[in-house]
Amino acid sequence: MRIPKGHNILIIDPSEVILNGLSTLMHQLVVGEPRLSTSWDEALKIKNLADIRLGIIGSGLIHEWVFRKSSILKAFENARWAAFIYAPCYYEQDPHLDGVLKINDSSDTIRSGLKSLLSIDKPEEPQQPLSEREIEVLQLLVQGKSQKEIAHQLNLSIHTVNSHRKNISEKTGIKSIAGLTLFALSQKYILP
Amino acid sequence: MKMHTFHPIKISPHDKLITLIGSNPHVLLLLEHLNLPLLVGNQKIESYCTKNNIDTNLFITLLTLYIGLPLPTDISLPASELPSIVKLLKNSHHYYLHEKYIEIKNKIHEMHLVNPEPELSWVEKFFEDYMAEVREHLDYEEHTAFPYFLSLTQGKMSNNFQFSAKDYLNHHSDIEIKLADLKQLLLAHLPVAEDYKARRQTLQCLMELEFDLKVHTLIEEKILVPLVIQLEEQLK
Repeated sequence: MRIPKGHNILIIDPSEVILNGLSTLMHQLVVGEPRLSTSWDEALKIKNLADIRLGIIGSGLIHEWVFRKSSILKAFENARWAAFIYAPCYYEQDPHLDGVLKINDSSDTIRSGLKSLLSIDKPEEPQQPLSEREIEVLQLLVQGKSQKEIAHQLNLSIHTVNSHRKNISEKTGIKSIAGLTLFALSQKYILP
Repeated sequence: MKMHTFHPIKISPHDKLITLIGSNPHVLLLLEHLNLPLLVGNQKIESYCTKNNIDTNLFITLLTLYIGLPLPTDISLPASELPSIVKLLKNSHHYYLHEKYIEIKNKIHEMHLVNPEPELSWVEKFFEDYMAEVREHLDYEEHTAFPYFLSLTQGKMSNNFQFSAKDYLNHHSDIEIKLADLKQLLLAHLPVAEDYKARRQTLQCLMELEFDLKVHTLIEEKILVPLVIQLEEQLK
């Protein structure tokens, strides 16, 4: 998928502070200037509306987007939409929104949300299987062994065991020993 | 570019409660946890609070959390509000133990009935063990921590109980991690058969519970614990 450029992105809100803040974050992700607008009437006059791939709507213009949605969605036919919430807003669960960013999110969270909305995240990868060593560590972990005991039994350093433990949680998405036990049972790494 | 419309980032005492509920149904749960009437009519927050004898600042602070807005950095609630906060937390416990956990337990059982794989019986066991752990923690809060907090408001500080804010909050984090793991197992790892409906309902229940637990932890972390520490300092 081609990475969108600045001119493929529309940021819209009545507040210049919000527009400039989001525009600065966007500069770290894409090349070129995003298009900024303070009203929907102004935004709908932009040339080549179909080029817009992502529209970020600030709280200040969300309500108008909701009321004018059918014509806006038609005009920006290729755009995905995200709300940037900085004030109480009653529309953030609108089904036509592809994402919601919040002012109290960290810059990293907002940046990763924008990356995901721009589809410039890493390509989807199949779930990575555990390595043989990770399976051995998992089997001992769910038996209740400490990292020190596992290191001794497998002749590894505690640091290496800890690193396997982190990889197991990252690959499976499971953190607790109880959850990992259920995972190990379901994969038949241990017997019931 | 023209500038117009100022949008406040705070809930105002003049906002109508019915409008907030309409867009944030979680607020209903807050009212229930505070034993407040759900029949809110057309009342503004301020008059609803006065009528129901609840501090407007406390109510707005809790509403802010329940609708997912950032809390102001300068929350200043008087220690006299501590009993209301404890009451809310106790009522949340009742909701977890007597409503939500039972609902989830039944949904998992339904899932197992239509998908009789051994994995699903292990999920039932996982959830039962989890519930036992939660019960133990809530029991500790109700019988040890809460009475201690309330005694502080009466100017007494027990020497028999050493409160640790860190341990107290870590317990909640463990509870949240296991719930997230269960969600992950159901969405990514455990075999699906004809259990779509029950699995979807289980996941929805888990997510509702997850939201309330998250707010519960924030109430403890941002409101309760600072008040307790403040009272302890005054009594030393």
